[in-house]
Amino acid sequence: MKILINNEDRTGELEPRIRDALQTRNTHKGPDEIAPEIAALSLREAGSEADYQERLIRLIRYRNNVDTLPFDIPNRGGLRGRCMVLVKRVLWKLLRYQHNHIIFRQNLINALYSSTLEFEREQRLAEITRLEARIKELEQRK
Amino acid sequence: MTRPRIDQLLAGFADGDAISNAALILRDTLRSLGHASDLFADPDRVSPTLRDACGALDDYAPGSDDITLYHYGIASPATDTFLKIPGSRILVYHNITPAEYFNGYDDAVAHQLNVARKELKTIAGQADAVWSVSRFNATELEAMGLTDVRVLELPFGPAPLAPEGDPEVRNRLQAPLTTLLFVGRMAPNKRLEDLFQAFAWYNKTINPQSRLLVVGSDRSCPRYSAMLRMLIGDLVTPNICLEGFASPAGLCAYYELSDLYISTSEHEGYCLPLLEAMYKGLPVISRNAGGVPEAMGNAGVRYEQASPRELAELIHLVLSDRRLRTEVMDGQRKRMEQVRSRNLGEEITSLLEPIINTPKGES
Repeated sequence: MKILINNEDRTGELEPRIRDALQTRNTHKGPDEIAPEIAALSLREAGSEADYQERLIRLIRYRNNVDTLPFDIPNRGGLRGRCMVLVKRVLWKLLRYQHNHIIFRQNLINALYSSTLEFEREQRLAEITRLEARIKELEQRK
Repeated sequence: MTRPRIDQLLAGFADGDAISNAALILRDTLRSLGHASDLFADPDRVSPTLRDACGALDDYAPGSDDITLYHYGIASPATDTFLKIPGSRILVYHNITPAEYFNGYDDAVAHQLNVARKELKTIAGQADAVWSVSRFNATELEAMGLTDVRVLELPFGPAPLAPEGDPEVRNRLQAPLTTLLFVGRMAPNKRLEDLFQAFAWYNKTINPQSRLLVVGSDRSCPRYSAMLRMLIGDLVTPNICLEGFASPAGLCAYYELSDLYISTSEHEGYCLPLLEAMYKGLPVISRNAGGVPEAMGNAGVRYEQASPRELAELIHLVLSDRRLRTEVMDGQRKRMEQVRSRNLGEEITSLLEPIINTPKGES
């Protein structure tokens, strides 16, 4: 890592501070690690639009479902902050039943949409293959 | 002495576009120097709101004593027009994003960029003068064998920012969160995926009361935008707000609302938003790449080879270390003084002198 402040190289001074800070952070709170082959960033490896499309449809399959697992509620600190977190937790418990039902329906719709997308692509590829074969056949007749 | 007419050709003309803004500043400067000056572009590539400010490419018919500046950054129909001009021709090179960035995301744009790069040497070879908006860009041209490339640093004017921020944007984003800002179109060379990952670490492990605003069109490379949206989902970081294109008043409000400007862009010919952020008084962190060092001058924070976690810590350091922040802000104030004291008219006059004094055919 290199750091320039006002065009002056200050890596020697700032990099150790950054390294020290990194050691004190709770890495468990960081973003979840996703297997590279199904991570969104794997789309960067697509070599063409067609390749991108194929990868995207495959990745969407892994992201059909909205989950209803509890999530972190940021705490601003102080009495007011703690109260707000408590209220939000209670609200989530009260709403979860209705929420789960809505999400159940939404997930069905999501699954249907990604299936439709996949079927559409398969059908289009089959059609292209058929047309290519037909062109080849016509060219051979000449 | 009659001053020659100096017009400008553009590949397109749009709100918030750096090349369009530069052309407007140049047009006004040329007019103030006594030259008649207008802009021309293909009407299909002009924002509807700007039709009055730009003539149609087909209507452009300069005389042999006129001078034409052609702003070049991508292949466009304006190239043919430029090459047929009877008067003096000046190529203004704004940098061509390497096509590889668009492979897989937009094959047509990748092709256009490849064509633009192939055509560049031919166009530059046929121009009477070649100007470049940064030394970084000039170096690229010189590597192609061109000599006598002159640098006219991209002009900065605060015109794209309205004097007053949009109250609707301010009200919508009034929650007291630490706000990081990026301004620019969502294109693969901007490496927003690096920014999102760094922000996710910042938000989850350092400051949950924070958000990242990304202001800029998401239509310039829709497949890249789709990848970024999926990445936001993977990172489970809802505080990344993709705000889309902003009006001048909206843009002003975003700058006013923010605590820090950050750019992870890997390829920039110059990068004007860095100066806009300095103008609006935000500390600026940017990847040290391309023309960024020239835009930032001796100011701001530049980094190289930082992992997302390290970048998150650097953001925190700049926001929380008062002494460091003051130092950065002092540097940026000096940079803005330097930008304000620039005499663009004098620079243009000096660059035009050899062309005006050497009529076409005598060079």
